[in-house]
Amino acid sequence: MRAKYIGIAAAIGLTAITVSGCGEREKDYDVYFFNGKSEIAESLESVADEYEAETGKKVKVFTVGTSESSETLRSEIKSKDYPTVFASNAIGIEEWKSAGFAMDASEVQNPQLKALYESIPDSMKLEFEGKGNYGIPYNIEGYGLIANKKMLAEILETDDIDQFKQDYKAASYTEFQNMIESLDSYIKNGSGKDFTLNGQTYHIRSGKTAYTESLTGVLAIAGAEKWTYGNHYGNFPISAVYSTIYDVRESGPEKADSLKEPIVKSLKELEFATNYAAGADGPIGRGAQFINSTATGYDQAIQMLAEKKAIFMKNGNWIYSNVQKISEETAKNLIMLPVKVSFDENDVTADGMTPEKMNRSIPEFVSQYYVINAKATAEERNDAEDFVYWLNTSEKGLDFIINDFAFVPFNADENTQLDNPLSNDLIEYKVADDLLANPFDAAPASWGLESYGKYVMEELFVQKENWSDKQLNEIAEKCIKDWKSGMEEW
Amino acid sequence: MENFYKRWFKILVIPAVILFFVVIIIPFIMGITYSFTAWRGSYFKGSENWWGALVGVTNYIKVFRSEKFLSALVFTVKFTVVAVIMKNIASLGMAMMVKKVSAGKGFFRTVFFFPNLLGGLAMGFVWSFIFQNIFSLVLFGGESAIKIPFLCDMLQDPNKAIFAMALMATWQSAGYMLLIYLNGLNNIPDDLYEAASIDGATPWQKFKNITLPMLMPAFTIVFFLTLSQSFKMLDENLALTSGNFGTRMLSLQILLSTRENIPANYGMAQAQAIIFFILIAVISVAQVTVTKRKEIEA
Repeated sequence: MRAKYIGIAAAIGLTAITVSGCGEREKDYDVYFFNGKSEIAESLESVADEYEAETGKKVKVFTVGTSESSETLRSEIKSKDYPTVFASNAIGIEEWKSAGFAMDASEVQNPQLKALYESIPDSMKLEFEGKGNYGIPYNIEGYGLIANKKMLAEILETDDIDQFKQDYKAASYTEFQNMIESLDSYIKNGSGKDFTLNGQTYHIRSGKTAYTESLTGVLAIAGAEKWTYGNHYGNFPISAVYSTIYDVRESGPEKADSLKEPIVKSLKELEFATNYAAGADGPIGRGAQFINSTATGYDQAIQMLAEKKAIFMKNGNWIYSNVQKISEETAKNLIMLPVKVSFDENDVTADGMTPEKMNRSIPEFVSQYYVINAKATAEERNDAEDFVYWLNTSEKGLDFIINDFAFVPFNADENTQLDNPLSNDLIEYKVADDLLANPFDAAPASWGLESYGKYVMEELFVQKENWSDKQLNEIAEKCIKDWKSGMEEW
Repeated sequence: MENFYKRWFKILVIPAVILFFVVIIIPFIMGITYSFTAWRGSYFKGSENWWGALVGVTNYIKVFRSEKFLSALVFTVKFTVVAVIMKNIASLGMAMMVKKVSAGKGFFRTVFFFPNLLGGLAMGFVWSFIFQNIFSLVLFGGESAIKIPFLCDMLQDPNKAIFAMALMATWQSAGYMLLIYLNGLNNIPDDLYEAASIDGATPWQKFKNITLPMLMPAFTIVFFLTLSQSFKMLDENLALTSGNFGTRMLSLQILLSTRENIPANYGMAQAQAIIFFILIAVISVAQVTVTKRKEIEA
């Protein structure tokens, strides 16, 4: 008989375990923030402590590394312990709005927070189908051609890098190419022809110095990382044709045909750049090794810039902390320059855009927004509103954003000073309005990686010889075809 | 004791059945249902409930029109054929070798089994280093005296990649399959071989007429295991090639397809998963039936 009871007890016990977790229980926090940026996960713990000390409200923070983030948020937001504030990017909002989780500014109860929502410049507002205002931007990010200014000063024997920067911004594409070629000749032979930027002549030092002798190539290129060209170079043709992410979503498929020539030109720019790529011990040509992750991975490319093996690297302001870990000295000398593509009037058809403006501008965008969960209870939403407002406006909160997160606040102006020189440059471009929007964010989800980036890596980077026009045209056509079939999902 | 289990069988089995229902059966049925809807992960497009978002077989039509899905399917089949053959030959060969050695049998068994303890992702990264740097630069290319182009840059060509992936998968699972084959070999009575020797049979005749038929039960198990293992492979595919250069397999295709649309098209991903399930079910059933029949004949 005892055996019988043991059997039944075991059955009941196991069943109980299976169905447990369905019980009601008190939440041990006031605000639950689902964060989408792993870089700031640690700092957010200090934010939570600080906020609790100041207001007595407990904040729970949860962070998932970028690529799994939306899957986790999807299940988390449907659970009983849903986040009351969560992170979304500009295009992900479609999901959260359609599922009813994104709260619009009009429903905000805290009048000060409402004012903050309304103070967001139109180009940065988190909208869905051109309507609403669903989030407060985390920060501004941007990318371009990053250079080591001390290296440039050394090679060009000039102290006035600011002048160089102005001339570079205004320089034509041919001038840009001449500059790269002269620099390449300097690296290979210790001398190079004079070149002009914006009509100003720049002279190249003869002979290597202690500072320049480690150079192996002009540009550090992360050939193994599809996103560094798929998501970035892929944006230039899109920016030439579409003005904003809403323009991308609202235009018909025929507009995508105008992408062809701009895509071909962006590919030609990649071909040009990869001719001058730096490697660990010498120049690294295109070919199988060019996409080897242990030779041209993201970390390897950053290392080449930091260790002065390359003068330039195309990437974003977020590389600062990685460079800093390798060389404090290089990190503080970084400057951000625009990427140049040989677009002309026929290529640039986007409203309000000209080839000249594209030539001197860099793409800046908001990567994530704080969104308040519309399905949370009124009280939870209140707490969430207070927290978001505190983080983005209080002295302590802003101090965290600028110094701990190392973010460029979305409302930064010329008075904002940051440690990261690249972030300061972003503010400079923003103040001068030399900006490209990031319509790329609205492109079909996998276009950058699985079309543009994939073709570049699999068909072009592995090819040692020059790329033929026929090849480039075919790739551009495939990219447009993928773009259109991606549109069917909208 | 025997009686105890007989009498209380139904009660004792309840927890397992409940778990099976909650974790497998219910999600499975929901999955089939959702594959017919415009499910977007956190909501149903155009409706509050799933029945309002029913789209018929649209998702399935989209799947069969998707170049990515079809090429993943073809690649998976090719890989499975190569991997099953390689794994079986390697593990049977090693099993026969281990059986023959007199000293250190346990040592070899352990060494061959080691790779099995490594996780798929970690192993994929290790092997991608081996293929990219050791194979391509040190052993068979670069400055090396032996130049074998086929073994260089294996991850940058779909055909070479099949063999690279199969090589890695064999290295990983052959040790496990070896144990099964070894067990099978040990169960073959020695008298059969003795009798064959007296009749003057060659080693090949012995292998073909005694070893192979007697190994059919072990072969059934190994064949079945390697087949489903290869067909469902995910981690190694992700770590080794991330599906680049046309090497995307079905599991990876299903995983990635939720990231290829915004909002994620879970309905379509689910339809792919159902097709994937049906394929595995069909193969498994057919294969078990065939090998069972063989067993009886033997």
